[in-house]
Amino acid sequence: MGILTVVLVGLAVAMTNAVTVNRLMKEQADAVTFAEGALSYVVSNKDFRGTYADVNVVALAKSGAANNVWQLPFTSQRSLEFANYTAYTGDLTIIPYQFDDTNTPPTAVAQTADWLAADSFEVQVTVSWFPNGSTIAKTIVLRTQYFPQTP
Amino acid sequence: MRVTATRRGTALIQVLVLVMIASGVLLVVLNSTGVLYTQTKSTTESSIVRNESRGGVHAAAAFLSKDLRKGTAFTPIDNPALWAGDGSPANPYYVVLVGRGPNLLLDTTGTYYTPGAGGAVADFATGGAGSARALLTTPPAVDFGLGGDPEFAVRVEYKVISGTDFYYEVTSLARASNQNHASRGPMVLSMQAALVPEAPQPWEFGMAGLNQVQVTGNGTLGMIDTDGKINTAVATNGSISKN
Repeated sequence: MGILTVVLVGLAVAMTNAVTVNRLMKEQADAVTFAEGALSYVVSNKDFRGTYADVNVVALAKSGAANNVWQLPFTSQRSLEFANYTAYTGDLTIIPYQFDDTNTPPTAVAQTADWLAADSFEVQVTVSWFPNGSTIAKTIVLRTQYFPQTP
Repeated sequence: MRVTATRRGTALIQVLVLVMIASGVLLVVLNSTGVLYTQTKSTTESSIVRNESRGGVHAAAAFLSKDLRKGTAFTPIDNPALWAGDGSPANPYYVVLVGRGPNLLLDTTGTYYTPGAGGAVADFATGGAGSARALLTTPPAVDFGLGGDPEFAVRVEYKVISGTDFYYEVTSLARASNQNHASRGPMVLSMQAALVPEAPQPWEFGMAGLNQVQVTGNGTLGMIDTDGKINTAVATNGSISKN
């Protein structure tokens, strides 16, 4: 009976841990999915620079003319919300970079404040959540470089 | 007494069977949990590395477009000392860019390729010793000028279509950065793309600084305001030539 008790208790503990790990892994997979979705949405936006242009730079807000790429200036750092999944929070950060103009080919790249002059953008999505019962947040960070193909 | 012993023996066998079944269930649960754990970490890792690799293609496009916009395309004709290969189908012209975060530079260390030479290059297609995958996985003690080890490497091949028309064939390899979620070493993923120069606005790609641009057919030349600045625009339903 003693051995049986030990085995059954071990089984119960293992099952409990398995359920916990299962839940944690599902949460992490959901976080990756959210981050992927947000990143894809940003980099597939044809009006990328206009939509996400930094409001602190040049006054780029213009009329809504059809040929106007530069409109709707927002900040370069934004909070993300995921509908019906309030347990997850996210941040979107976009940083413009510019290659040097004097060398062929470029030999340096640096952050720039001028979104219109930027050659590429670093897009970073961070998704955070608190695993059940934990006070320590888990975080998934996805980042990519984006080359805007619309001039 | 005999009946009691028989019952005890039967109960013992039942307990043993129960223990074996419980142990089997325990092993299955532990195994499936381990598999799930590995799968989720790998999913996370592949997502991170795939986006890094994709970013390598975009960063290379930005790098190569910088000179195109100035009208001085980065090619083996204009910059022979920086390209390797001989332009033959078997050994096309190529360069290798290395990157870390937003940084992307030509590999001038001779690690991934040898500029101006036709020979040695790290294999971007397969793994093995000396390959680009191996170099990314176990970076050599070389200062690439990136502020750390490369996180991605991009091989750029120069391909001539005909005459002066060309495109770049790009292969980007990326490894996980400091967010490594992989169970068995950093994952390395590849992404390929063809970068074809196009000229939605002719002045941006190759016409700046020229003596003359001729519009054949009906066309217009005017000033437009598309980005908060006054720009010159040419439009035609015919053709545009330059010299």
